[in-house]
Amino acid sequence: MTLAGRLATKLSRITSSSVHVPLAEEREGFRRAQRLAYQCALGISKELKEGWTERETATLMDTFLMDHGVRTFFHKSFAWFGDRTRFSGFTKYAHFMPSTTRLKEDDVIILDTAPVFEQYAGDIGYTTSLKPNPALDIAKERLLKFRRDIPGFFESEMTPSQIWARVDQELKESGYDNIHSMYPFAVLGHRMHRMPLSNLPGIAIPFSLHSYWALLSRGLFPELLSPDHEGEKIGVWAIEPHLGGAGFGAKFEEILVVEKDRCYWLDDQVPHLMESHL
Amino acid sequence: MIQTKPIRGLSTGWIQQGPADASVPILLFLHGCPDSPEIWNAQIEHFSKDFLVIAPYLRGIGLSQPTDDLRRYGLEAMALDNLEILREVDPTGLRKVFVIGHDIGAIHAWHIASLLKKRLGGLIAMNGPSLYQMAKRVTNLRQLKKSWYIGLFQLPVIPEFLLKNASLLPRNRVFNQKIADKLLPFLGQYRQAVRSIPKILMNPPKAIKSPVLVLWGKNDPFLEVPSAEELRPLASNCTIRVLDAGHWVQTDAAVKINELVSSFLSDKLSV
Repeated sequence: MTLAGRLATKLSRITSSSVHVPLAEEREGFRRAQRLAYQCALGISKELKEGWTERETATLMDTFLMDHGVRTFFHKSFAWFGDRTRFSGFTKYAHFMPSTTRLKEDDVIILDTAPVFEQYAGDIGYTTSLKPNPALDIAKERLLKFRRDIPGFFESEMTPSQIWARVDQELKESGYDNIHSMYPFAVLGHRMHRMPLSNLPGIAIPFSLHSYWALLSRGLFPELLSPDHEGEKIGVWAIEPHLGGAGFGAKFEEILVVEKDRCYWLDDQVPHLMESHL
Repeated sequence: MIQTKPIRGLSTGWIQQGPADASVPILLFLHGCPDSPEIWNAQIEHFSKDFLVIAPYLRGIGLSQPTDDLRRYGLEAMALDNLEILREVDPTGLRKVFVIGHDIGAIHAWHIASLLKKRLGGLIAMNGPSLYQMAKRVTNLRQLKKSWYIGLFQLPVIPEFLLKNASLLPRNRVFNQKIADKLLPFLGQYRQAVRSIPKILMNPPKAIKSPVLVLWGKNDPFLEVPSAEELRPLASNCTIRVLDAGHWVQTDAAVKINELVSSFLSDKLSV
């Protein structure tokens, strides 16, 4: 392990204020924020047309959320189309930003947004396409298997770094690439926070000052489910496995609640689950 | 028939008239300032025989609930409102849509047209520019002289005070308290439109591929007649027709306008 990795591991063991079992009121706050974020992603995905740019789409998502009372964001909306959903050619931070890439008929689409609503952050990822796409359907089935398995990983003795490695291994065994390893700090997820100053707009390019403060004031590394995390699991996490297939990527992102003896997804009314029952 | 439904949390009204046949194209009429959708009565009557005509009350006007959230008067928010109205009337999203806008309604029409992509049958702008077009006119002194009031509307509080007390202003043949009361709910739209200008200048819109018809009354005291040069970056297939009419071309020359619009629609639908 590199020196930076060893340092990240050491820092991840800090017990930050995020390490606590959320109260019912907190869970309800996160649930409301997550539902609004999904309402946004679904609403905009219904309007998506061939020819829209990623930037146009992300702007409309932010508009939708602000129209519903959001004043600041954990991060502003991302939209990725086509092979950008698997971060092809991404070599710097700026490449993650919504671009002028236009939506094509056969493209896979990822919408990812994180509004702060009534002091709580929601962070969601939704993958869809304009046309039926069998390869995407198979990838989404694989992601749903992760959704079933991940709570068990957290309930087991596995450390966060072992969970990261297990997801990575299973992704590769299924024939996919691990795309979340390309996120900053290679995170499979990150902790979610209450943000009491949610009425202050902050700057969101795309992460707001609120979110930088929320992460940095807690030591950053305990907040990130990175390959080096050996710290505490208890708390509220946004989990975002992101896989890469041939020419496309797919992900979901939603909130996982980890308590001392049990672990569960905050809400089962999420589109990737409900669509699979159709 | 008047429809009223909550659209994205706010009660919103629109006139809906036309055949029940789910295959007929939709004509979306967007009114300007200081009007309401009834300004389109001559067109609604004429076109609802063959098309589904939708004429929304823009946000804050008539049956469309106003809000203190200024953002809801912005280009993006109003586009989302209108897209949702279209979804209400055509849940399949398969029907062709022709967008027709007048005055500030044309600004919204250009924007919605850019979002409808292949679903767009065509765009008709009547005495109303796109926001990009208007933003480019800031160096045109004649236009600036005609648009001074837009600058005034950007000030805080003062426009509201003046419009609520129109009798304090110099007497004028056309401006009176009744007009001032109608202007008041449009302040939010003018303010949000101007705030969007830097962004639209930095990210110029891509030319609309569907056919565009620009109909312009040449005796307009508020807007200069557009040139083909000015419209070229906005539409790859654009026709301009200048008429001997005023700003409210759809009422001043209703018969001629209906004729030109009919001919545009039948051309595009026969292709």
